[in-house]
Amino acid sequence: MKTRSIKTGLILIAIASVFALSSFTGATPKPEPEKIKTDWKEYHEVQQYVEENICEPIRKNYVLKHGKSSLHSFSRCPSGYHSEMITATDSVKTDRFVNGEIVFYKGCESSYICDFKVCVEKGFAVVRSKGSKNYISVNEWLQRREQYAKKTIKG
Amino acid sequence: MLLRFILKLPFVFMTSLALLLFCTTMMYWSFKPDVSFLLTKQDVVHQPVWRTAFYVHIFGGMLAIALGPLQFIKILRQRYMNVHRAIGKIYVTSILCIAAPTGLYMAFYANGGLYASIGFVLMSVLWFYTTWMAIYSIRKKQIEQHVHWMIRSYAITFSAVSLRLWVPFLSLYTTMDHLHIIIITAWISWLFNLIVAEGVIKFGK
Repeated sequence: MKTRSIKTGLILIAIASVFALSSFTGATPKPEPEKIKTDWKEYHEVQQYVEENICEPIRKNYVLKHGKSSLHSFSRCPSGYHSEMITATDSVKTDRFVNGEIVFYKGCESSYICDFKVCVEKGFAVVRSKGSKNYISVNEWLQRREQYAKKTIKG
Repeated sequence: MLLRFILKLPFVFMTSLALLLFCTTMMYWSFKPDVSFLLTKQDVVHQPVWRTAFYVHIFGGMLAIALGPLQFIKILRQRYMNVHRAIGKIYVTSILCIAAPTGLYMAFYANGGLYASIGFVLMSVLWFYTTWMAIYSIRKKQIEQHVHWMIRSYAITFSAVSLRLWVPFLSLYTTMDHLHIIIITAWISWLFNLIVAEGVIKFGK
């Protein structure tokens, strides 16, 4: 009885695994892998620079109307500010200008906050809102957002 | 009386969170491809196999997460054994035949890449194993072993809830980037629960 049950269990696990693996390999056609030479160390350095110089000041000074915690946060997707590179991954270097977007995640749903442009070696970090031509410093952007928010409340 | 109530608080809290997950998962039954988690799976959401696995998985998962707490209610076990058995059969079927195999399949497509996939694969296998062992032990009339394996099984079922608590906690209160949060929570969501389960088994007698 014991051996039979264990055998049945193992067979079931084996069938499930074979099905899962075969579907996995069959479901995705394998395209030729692109030969991208990404320096992940540099990529993370740039990401860290964006985090410290753009995300952090925005996080501290720009409170979204939906607040920090809500039912949306009860999710398997991380919430909060997140930088997403627009510049191709292999071109993200510390000595180059890198473009991207700051988005705010509420669970799995994201909302656009601003565009950014950074260069780590030059110590350069600027942002702009959608529709604006010119990039400005993060502090200026935050001040403008604050003024705009005050006007909206008065209006 | 008060002490008894206080001792029951963790159970009430766990059940409330399980029901919260049950309710929030209902939104997927609109079958829209751009709802919550599916927003992050736009690369696979239109694949019939993945999409079927996803809906089958949440169906089985919802049954297991909602029915599990009922099995720990003492009165139900003592006075209504038939109800306990019937619910138990639905619980184990929903895991062994529905949620665990589809979870295993979906683990290969997990956000967070290889390390997250390994975490979810292990979780699915352990989910299947602990539930299977719970049935095996009750068939052998080993009641204590059955209770222990069921606690472990529900600890893994409950990782669906703890994942949704760990992720916002780490994302809102640490400076960890999103990718690392996804990878770490793919592991701690069930590992932490299993440690708690072992504690309950050892000290909760």
